[in-house]
Amino acid sequence: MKRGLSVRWRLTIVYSLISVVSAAVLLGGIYAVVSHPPKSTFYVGSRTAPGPDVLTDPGSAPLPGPGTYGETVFQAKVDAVDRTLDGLLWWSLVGLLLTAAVSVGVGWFFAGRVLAPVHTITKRARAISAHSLDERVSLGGPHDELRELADTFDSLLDRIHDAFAGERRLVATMSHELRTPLANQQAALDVALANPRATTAELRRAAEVALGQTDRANRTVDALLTLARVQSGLETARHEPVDLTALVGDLVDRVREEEGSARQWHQHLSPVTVTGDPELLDRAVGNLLQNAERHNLPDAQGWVDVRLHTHNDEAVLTVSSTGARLDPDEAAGLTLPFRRGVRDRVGSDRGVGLGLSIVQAVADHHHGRLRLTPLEPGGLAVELALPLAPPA
Amino acid sequence: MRVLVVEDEEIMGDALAVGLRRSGYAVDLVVDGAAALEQTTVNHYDVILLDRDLPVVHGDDVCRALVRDRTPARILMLTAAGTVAEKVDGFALGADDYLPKPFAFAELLARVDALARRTTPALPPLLSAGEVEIDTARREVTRAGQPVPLTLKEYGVLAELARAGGAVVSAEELLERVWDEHADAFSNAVRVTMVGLRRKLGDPPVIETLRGVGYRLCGG
Repeated sequence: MKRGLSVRWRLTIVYSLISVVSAAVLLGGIYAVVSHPPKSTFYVGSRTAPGPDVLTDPGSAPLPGPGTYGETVFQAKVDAVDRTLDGLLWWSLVGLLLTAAVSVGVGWFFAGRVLAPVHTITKRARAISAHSLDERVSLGGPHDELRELADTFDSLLDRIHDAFAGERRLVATMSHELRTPLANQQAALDVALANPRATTAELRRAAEVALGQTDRANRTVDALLTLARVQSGLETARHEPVDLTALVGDLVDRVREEEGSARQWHQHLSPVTVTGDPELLDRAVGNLLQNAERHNLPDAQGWVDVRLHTHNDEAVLTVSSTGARLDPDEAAGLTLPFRRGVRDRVGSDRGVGLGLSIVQAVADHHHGRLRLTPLEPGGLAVELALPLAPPA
Repeated sequence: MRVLVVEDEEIMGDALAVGLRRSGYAVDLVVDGAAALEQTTVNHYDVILLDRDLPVVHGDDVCRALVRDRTPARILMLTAAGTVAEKVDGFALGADDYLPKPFAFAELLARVDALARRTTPALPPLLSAGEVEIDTARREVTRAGQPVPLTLKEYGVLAELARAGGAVVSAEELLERVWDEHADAFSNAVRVTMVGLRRKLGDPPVIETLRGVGYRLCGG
């Protein structure tokens, strides 16, 4: 890569140019004033003897007789002025050169001082790799522009660090989630086969368990792929008017039927149309309703409440349901992949733990919000807000 | 030998319980950390199979609490997290062994056997009392070289007596260590099993009854 002149050199050059030019202007001005003095200060043809400086000058011509002082003094004065001007010119040049030299030195030194924090930032930022993301530039000193730059770097690193940590956590949980059904499968088959006197029914049961676990792994992979597609924006999302009221109404019926729900469902749906991708919205709303049904109290005690209305240019869908008690932090964390609340169901029929992550991704995709609030004495209210008009 | 399985995955827990019971262990199964801590205060376990990612109380905390209370049980951590760092973490918590999932059941069983043997003082895999020899790894009993076929409970009772090394073992202790929590404390299961065991081991009798105290193995 071709590298230009360094900033330090450029600053130095600018600084010395300014110094040299201003010095040159100053000296030039002085020279001009001195070499063309105002006429009134000349006195030509003086009758008085010249001062001792003229008379004692060894280089001047011997004084002529009296009466010609005027001529002589004039000549001597012209000589003296010429010499002085010559000297001034010389010394000005020498001074200018000295100024140039000194200004380059001083400029180089100060440019270095000013740029030192930049070097520090570069050096530290360069040392930070993907594996040492917890290091920071942490530039000390006064709160100036460079400190601001360093602090901006640090906050950027904070965000990258969080993103990386999240990614690693996701990969770790992902492998855990995919390994668990495999482990279950192996254990069930292993134990059944290890029994030489296992009956056909026992073997059949083991095979069924293994199949169930294959299905579970499949569902996890499916959900992960959906999440990845929505998050990366690869899903060719459509932007068309979606009748949210009809969509929510249909989904409530579908979920109730699929889950065989016998609990009470309350619906308050006002007519709302949003712009978005019907498929993604369908999946998001479906996940919310499914969660409300699955993570609930037993049928007789639990209820689900679905509300849809518009508020401040937003379509707000609120799904509240009874269920286990959650604290706010726990509730907010439920959108993280594979984060499940209090395990209300032990066993393999519980969800894969990606439902709310997908809802969150769909909400982000539509520039909407997702808010989870725990209910008293137990349960969760999930609020999905989508902008009515698509952002430009 | 009594084992506590702490596993929140129903399928895994069931498979472990079935497999271990078939190998002669008395197995209790709990699905969360809090229940595990409760069980360990009530019963005496020889080996605890502990999943790490447990609801209510995390497996790591369960392990810490057990070690802090100086549990005599050996802890085998059983988890899907299998990197070297995670294994080291597990041992640092005080686990005696660590087996990442998925695993072969045969290996798990061998490890549980090994842990069960690691009592103080450590027991050899082959126990003997006079002519009777007990191979705890293969669960085979011989008397004077002749194999003696035993039921799981009979084998369990004999192994417990052999482990005691000639000391008296009470019927309550046998009930606790060979049967799981579902056994009725007032049942005569021990007595019935003892009758069958004595009959199969033949003459001269190797198990002595001390009325009102318990049983012991002669010639140990």
